[in-house]
Amino acid sequence: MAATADTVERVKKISAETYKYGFETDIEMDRIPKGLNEDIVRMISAKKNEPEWLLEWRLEAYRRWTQMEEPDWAKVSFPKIDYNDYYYYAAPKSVADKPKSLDEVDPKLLETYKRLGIPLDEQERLAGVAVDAVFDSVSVATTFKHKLEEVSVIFMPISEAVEKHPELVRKYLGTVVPTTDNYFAALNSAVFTDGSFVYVPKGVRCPMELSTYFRINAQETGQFERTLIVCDDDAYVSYLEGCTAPMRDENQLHAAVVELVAMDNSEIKYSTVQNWYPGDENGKGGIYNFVTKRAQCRGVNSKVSWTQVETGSAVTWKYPSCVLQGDGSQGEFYSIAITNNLQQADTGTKMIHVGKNTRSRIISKGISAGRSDQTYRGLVKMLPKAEGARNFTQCDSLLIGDRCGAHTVPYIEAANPSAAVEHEATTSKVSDDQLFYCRQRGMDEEKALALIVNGFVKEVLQELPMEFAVEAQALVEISLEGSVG
Amino acid sequence: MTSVLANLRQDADTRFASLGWPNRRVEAYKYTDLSALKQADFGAVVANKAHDLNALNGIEGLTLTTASQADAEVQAKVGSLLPLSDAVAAYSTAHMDEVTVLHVAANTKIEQPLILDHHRSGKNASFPRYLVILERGAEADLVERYAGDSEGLTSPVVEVFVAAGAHLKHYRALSEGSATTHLGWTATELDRDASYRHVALNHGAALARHNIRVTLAGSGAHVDLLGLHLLQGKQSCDSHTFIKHAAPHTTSNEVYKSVVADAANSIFQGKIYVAKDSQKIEGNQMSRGLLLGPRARVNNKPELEIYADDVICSHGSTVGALDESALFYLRARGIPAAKAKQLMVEAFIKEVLEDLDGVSELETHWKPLIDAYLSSVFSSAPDA
Repeated sequence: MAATADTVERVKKISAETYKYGFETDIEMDRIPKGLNEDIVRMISAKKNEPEWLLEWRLEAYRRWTQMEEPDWAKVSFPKIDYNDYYYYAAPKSVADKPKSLDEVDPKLLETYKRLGIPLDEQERLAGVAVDAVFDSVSVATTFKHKLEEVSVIFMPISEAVEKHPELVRKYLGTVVPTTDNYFAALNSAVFTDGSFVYVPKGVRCPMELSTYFRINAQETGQFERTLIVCDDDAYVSYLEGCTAPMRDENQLHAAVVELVAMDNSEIKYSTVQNWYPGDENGKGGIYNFVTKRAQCRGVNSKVSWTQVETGSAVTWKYPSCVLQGDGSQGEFYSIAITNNLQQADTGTKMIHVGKNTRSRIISKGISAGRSDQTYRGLVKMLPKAEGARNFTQCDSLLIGDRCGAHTVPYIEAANPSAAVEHEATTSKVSDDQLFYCRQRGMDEEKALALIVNGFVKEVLQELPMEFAVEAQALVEISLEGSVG
Repeated sequence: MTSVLANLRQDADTRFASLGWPNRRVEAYKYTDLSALKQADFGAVVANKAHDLNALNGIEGLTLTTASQADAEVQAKVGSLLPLSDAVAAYSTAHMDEVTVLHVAANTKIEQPLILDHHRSGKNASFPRYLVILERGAEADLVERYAGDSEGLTSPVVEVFVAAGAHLKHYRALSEGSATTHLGWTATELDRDASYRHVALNHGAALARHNIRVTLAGSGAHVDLLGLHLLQGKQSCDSHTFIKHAAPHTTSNEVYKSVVADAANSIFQGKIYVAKDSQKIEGNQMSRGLLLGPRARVNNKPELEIYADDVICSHGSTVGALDESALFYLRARGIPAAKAKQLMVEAFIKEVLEDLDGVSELETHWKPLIDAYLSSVFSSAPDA
């Protein structure tokens, strides 16, 4: 099996060098002390000038968190986290007195974004993307604001939304993912520092893709974003989340919470490209990514679609879910997960069918290489009232090399006789027949492998918005660089 | 009882004391909560002599004995396939009395089925325990039946060793009454080029749990696991299967079908495990549920855990109702609704039963059970 040996050899070659976004910006950090206790929570809240109710909400979450236990059911292993060894708040100093425009932003920050290719200044119009850039914990610049204002779409850092639209934030915050939902969600609720808030009013079709780049920058700083997107009746929004992080050795903790609310006939499309530092080829370093993402399709015929390309992080624990409450609502989950070296990913989705004639579709493509371990874990639940509900699930795993693992753990719970659930899963390696066919037609082995893997994930790549497709494709290539050419 | 067995019993008792009856937080029992059994009164423990073993005497090539009488090598096999980390395995082992050993000599083909027939009567708890050994190149059919309607617990354990080139077909029918709790275990190990076919008919007990664990330990080994759940009333039946591909060039095929009427609950949890370095594996699994009752439930958890790359593994799982258009087609041809539905259910379960063509057990015992189930489900159904 020359092809296999060759592939394995190439996977071996992949090292941290291929992580091209690994640089660190040297900016002074405004920090509060390491550790986590009620005072830290109060300090974060005070730094953000938060109202009393939010502080109480945080404290309540913190108290519950101290009584909870870290979940251990996922198929991942990592050294025990000392939650008191992290900084829970870090903000670039230069924005302590909020910049009014891009000119006032620290040029070093702008340089960082440029290297990441974020279309913040000169590409504003061309890219048609409004970027709410999160640099560690404080958002430093928001563009296209006025354009969004014209159509009354609210898109701002959540800390700003707490000040400007407290009634909206208070109405929806924590209603999809309650503070006590799980260990990491409780932690996030206590110490979240930033994230995006989006509100699309009735009947508005958001004229552009909304995008946020999260970057983890300061050493040992966990980032705890909180994103809340509300799409009112007959509205539409497409939200892009992309991530890169500088290279480092300390494991970093990341526990985000994303809440989506879709009202009658509305649609939210949420796309993620996650490319955080996965650790080096010996599993040293890398981000811990423990994320709670959930959407509630509250309105009739509402629709939420999650698309994710997961190539980074040392440990991933992530299950973007849909609660399909409104009759006729739809949930979709398209996922590509690529793990290499010693990465571990336990990811999947939950589709909870509550309303009548609700539909869901799950397409998951996992590629394991090196010594990585990947698990698809999904739940499809048909509640007794979910008359005529439908689900289709397909999860395929591709193995590259003989030292990786691929696991599939779907849960199917049907309690309505008129509901239909279909699930299929396959696990295999790149077939020798396919390789042979391509090579027979004069393709070299690298190209042949690339072609086959590309075909394997195409179904999901197609779901990404245009603005993201290029970057995502590049990421897939980088992640498998050396293993597929 | 010899000290080896007494020690095993003691060990299991200690294990169960620390495990207790599992609740939903124990992943393997997510859909079958046994914690209520803590308060259950199963009645007195009775010896596992509810069956007639005399019929097995005098079969050529078969040695019928007990573990106490057997040599050390055989005794060492008792409990060796059973994970005592499982509460049911520990509980049953802690209560085992004697182990009946069925030993089939090398290169012997036994034509008549080896029947283990159990019929419950009276409130009690029984823990039938068997060790089945097929030596190299042997062939046999094993029939296991659990019937009778009475309160209490049946918790049987069957351990099977199939040596190189041997073939065993194993038919297991559960039709205990609506007052019985049934917690069973079947654990099998296959050596090189051996094959094992397990067909299970689950039509009984109020609460049933059947654990099947098959280890493909030699290359060229093949296993078929086929199962039916025919449930009604408030029955709950959980088939929990685990196929371990521990050697290269092994294959497995699994099909489970559930027909669930009234407010019954069908659970299927099946895992295909491919160990590191077990290359050239093919493992396929299909689990399908048919919901007939408005409060019927199906919980399926098919699972793949794979640590080798040269594999082709798949699973499929579906849950749904009878196909409306097929039903319409039949009715348009003058077939009454109940009859049409019955025909469709028969077609649904046929895939599992097809392989039993020519097996006398199907005709004499399974068919009557299946017919009784279908007529009771469809005679009461309104002619809609």
